[in-house]
Amino acid sequence: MKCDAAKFAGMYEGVYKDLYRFALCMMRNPQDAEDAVSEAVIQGYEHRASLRREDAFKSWMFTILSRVCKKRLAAAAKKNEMNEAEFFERAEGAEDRLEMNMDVRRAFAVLSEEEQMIVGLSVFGGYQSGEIGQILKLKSGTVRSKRSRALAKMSVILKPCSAGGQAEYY
Amino acid sequence: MNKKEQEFIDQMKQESEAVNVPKSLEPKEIEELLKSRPEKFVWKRAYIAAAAACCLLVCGIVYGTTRESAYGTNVEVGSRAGADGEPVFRGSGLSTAKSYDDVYKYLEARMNEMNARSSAGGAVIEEYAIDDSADMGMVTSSSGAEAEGQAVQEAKTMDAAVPDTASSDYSETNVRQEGVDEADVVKTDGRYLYTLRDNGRAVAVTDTKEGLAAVSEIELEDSYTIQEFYVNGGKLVLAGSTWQEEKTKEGWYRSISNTFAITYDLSDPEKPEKLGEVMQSGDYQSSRMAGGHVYLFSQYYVYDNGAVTAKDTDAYIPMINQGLLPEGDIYMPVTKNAYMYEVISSIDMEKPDEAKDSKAVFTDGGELYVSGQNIYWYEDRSWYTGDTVIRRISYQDGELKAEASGMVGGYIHDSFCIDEHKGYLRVITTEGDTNSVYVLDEELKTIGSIEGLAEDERVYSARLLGDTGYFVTYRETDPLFSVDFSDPEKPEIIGELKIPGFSEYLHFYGGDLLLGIGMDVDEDGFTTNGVKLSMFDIRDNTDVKEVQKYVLKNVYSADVMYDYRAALIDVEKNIIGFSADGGNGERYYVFSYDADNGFECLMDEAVNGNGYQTVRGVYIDTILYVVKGNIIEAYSMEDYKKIDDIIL
Repeated sequence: MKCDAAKFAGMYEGVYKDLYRFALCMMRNPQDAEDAVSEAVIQGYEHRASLRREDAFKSWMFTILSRVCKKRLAAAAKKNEMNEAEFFERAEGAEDRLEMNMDVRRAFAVLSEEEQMIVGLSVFGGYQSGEIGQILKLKSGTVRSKRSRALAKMSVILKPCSAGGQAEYY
Repeated sequence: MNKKEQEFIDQMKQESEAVNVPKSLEPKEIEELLKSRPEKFVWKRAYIAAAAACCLLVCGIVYGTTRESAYGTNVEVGSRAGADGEPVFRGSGLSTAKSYDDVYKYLEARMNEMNARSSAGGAVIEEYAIDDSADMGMVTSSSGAEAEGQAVQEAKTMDAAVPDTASSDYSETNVRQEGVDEADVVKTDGRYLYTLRDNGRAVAVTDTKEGLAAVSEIELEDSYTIQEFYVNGGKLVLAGSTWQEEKTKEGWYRSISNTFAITYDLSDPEKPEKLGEVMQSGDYQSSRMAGGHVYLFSQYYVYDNGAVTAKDTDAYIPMINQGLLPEGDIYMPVTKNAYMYEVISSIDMEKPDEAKDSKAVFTDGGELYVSGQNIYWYEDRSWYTGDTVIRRISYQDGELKAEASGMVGGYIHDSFCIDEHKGYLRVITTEGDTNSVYVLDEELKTIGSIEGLAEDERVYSARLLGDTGYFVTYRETDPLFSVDFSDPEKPEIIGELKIPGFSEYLHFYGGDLLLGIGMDVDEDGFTTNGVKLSMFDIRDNTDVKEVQKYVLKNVYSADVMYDYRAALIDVEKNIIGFSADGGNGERYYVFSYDADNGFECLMDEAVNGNGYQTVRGVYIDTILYVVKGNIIEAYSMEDYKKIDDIIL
């Protein structure tokens, strides 16, 4: 597929909001999310020769972005390790993450990284378990069960509108 | 996904619509950014050889002598038809490759089919394969672990090689199968604590004799990532993967992952000495240690984009310590979709620099359960064909031999759900909208089954012991089923207990009790109230009762629900320890159990450390050590007050 910067940006236009929202939930602060999306875009652009079909652009970009997020989170963890001496003093501040202004992000913060990926791809990518399995190299059954657990955990923080046993669902 | 889950996902999507995307990410800005970048091409990590197709005729085997493939008795297995009516279980699952060309032809056929599907507009997601340092950098402890099962935990008898000042009363890793050790991120020998550092490159050794003192560290090079390790028989074995990028003679790059097992002598834990190293192709998946041997499992993906030629054997045949695996040791696939190998090697701890035996199963992925005698390797094909293929590979004294293969309907939730007993294999599966129980004989032929259980629910956890099995399915309530396996040909559901919530992990607690750790769920079947401990009385297995329960409110997840190795459960000491996440952050809990008073919370303390490793609790004598990556905290088990800590 022939693809220049304009063409790439055109395809990108259709997905960038969801990419950013996904990154925001993964990275936990707007600056990191912005950086992750930029990096993913550049990687995608540089490897655009391996994208053979336009309609695969979205899943392809999500795959790249999820890897970039993983890599950046791991790097951040290594960096944090240096500061661990301060950690005992900060132990009381373990709730830092909960100060975030968005309920959705708060709910994401309770998930493991893998669960964040799975739920993030469901919410922002709109993917089903089979497609998520392909992106994350997991079995679709595994994706399904992990997603159910993750959503159950999130429901503690972010009450589903339908929670409370409303009759119409039964 | 059920309706409520879908609604919840839609709700989250809606609530985040308002997020403002930074200006720098708007398409116009991005276009300018991309235009300003210099042209640069990096190729897929797939081995791209330019003059691909021309070489097809030159597909001789560039390997020396052909080993006789005397493995397996080639039990024939019935085949189910695929969607297109074509049998998808091809062969017995036990036949080995006759030549590397067999493997090559298979890969070539698969690639042709994929290309055909792709150009026909099929839903093939483009393969993206660059910068896999991302994969290597992230060493979550989730890999492989969640798929394991039944755990047995007992105080270890003192090992001859352990320093004489060591205690004989200490905890061991909670394992799936008694007598089969598993690697973990924290171990003790009764005196020293061995802990995997957050960076995944080193194991720190801490002496506990007089308070906590860091005494040594075993560190590997940058390209190595340690996933977990063993401390057993006076030796330490590190297991994990390496990653490197290689420039081919054509000038392309390809990245190579290898799995390692590196063994050290622990005669002096303050000066561990390296004894040997074994490498095999692929990413580390899991390992076991039994009978003086380590069994190493890796997953080796073949990135064939149609340009690898038959003679590029090192691009599609697994390597063991620099040598190609002989074709007679490669089991051919039972599906059309194989694109990777499960590589299995045994390593004699007396000769830790060589693989005693190696086999590879050519496949599209699977999980493993290791009993006292056999490796059961199972491939979930439920996505395509609704079934799971199981292979039995015996492993006595490090000799690997595929003995049988068979098939069950549905998928296996985790290795709790597959269990060998008296030569029979009992399997609990979720099959479409229902659940099933199967009993297979030594040839892995199904001889007994119950199908159509618990419609619209799926298996969450299981536990089998002797002739009785228990499993939990869930949708809105938690039916705990009891199965009688005493007649293998006629397994029978003998009890069903319905309670709200579900158990994700089951552990026998003495002879008459079964402990469940899971979630308490509202009657709406969706809102969770917190982590729940349940104690089931199983004296009468036809009438199981939940006799006590305890809900940790505002606590939404416990590691043990994902990885049984995170549990510290000792029935004799009457302790149930685990870490859990909640509104108050990550905390370590210890409970005791009493028939009259139920669960008593002995400890509820914040876990310090913010690294990537999951929390483990281990005890030596009367001191509990809570470890998270580089931080160790010590608590007295008399009153569970903190007495010491160390930052490594």
